[in-house]
Amino acid sequence: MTWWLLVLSFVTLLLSVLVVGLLQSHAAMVRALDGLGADFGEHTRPGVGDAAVEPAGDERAATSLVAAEGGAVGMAARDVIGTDVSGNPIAIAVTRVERHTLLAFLSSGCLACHGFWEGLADPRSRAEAVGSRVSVVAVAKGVDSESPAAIAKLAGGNLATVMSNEAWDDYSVPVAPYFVLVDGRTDRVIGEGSAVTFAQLGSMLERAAADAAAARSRAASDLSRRGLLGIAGGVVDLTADSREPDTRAQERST
Amino acid sequence: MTGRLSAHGLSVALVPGWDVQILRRDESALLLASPDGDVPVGGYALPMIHAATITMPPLRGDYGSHVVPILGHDDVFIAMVEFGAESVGAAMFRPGFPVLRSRDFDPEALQRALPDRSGTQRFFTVAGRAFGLFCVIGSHLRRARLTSKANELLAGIEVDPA
Repeated sequence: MTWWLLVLSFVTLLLSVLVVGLLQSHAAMVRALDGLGADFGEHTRPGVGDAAVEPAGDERAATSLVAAEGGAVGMAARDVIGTDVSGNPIAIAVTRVERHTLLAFLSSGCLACHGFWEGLADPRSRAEAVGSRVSVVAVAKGVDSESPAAIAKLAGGNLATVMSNEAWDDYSVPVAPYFVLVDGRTDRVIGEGSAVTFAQLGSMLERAAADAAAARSRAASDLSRRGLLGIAGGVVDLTADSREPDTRAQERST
Repeated sequence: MTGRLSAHGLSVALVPGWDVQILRRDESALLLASPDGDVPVGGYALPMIHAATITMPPLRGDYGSHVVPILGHDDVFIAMVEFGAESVGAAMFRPGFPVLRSRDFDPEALQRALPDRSGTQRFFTVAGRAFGLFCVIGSHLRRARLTSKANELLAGIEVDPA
């Protein structure tokens, strides 16, 4: 009996030490995240969904917290200029175009990014996630931070990819993976945020479109009340393809 | 979009709404770009300019394979591909940078006919270098407007001497 009590006491002590250690570790993480500006309550700004907080060091494993304040939603979008994976200069227009563009800020070393590279590089899964009306551009950092060969391998031959530190700065990207949705007709950022899994991307875009449509509708309603405009704003359908049916059929067949 | 892209002795003024790339195939890309054989490339590691009013897939042919089929009716694709020095002075290559006319466009100018689309090809020399210019528009019916769009981009191209 005494022997049994000793064993139980030892196990209890051991478990207590483990619990205290875990609590300390958790407290340290909370303090670190708080220092980064993370919000553990409601989402504090219009984003495209669950966001990730940039982890310390190079591991960059995504969490499901809201990103720091000071986001890009509503700001004027900027076209993306950089190089391709072979070092050739490339410019991709996201403004003054009749489409939405999803800028996917990804890195080769980020574990959470690999699912997005894989999903976006495959035309079929990309179309399922974002629809055919949204153009997708992967944006990696420049050659001083990334291996072009690694990016080339991840992007494959079907995903438009730019290596550009400037674009990361322009959109104040806090973490990888990070996504910015640009409306090329208004030249504005209409959504941003991060996700943990590729499956979340579709719902993020739907939410961004709904938010943008609601914002426009509110603005139009305000104007209408003031007698400046007689009609309400429209609704964005990111999954709709406005091109003619024969064009879509050709696209599918290629 | 403002500014210019410059590389390989070519320079392009960035025009809003256009994606632009100046590229030169890697030697390895000449062998590996088309594992399934459906993306023709020239076989020469010479510079070229690709520009389009859509986002171009990275794996595409010198003359727009994989791009032309996804052009919308208001879209334009331009490929300006340099030829070897032996082409300079050849009868086919006319001196001076071409300006496209809407009547130049012909639906049958495409290697593979696609509904509504139309294209034109010109060969020219400028600054002692020889080029082929291939332009495809998404709608033959809208060729007047789309030709102007193409010429706006072409007007901003500069070529350094050979």
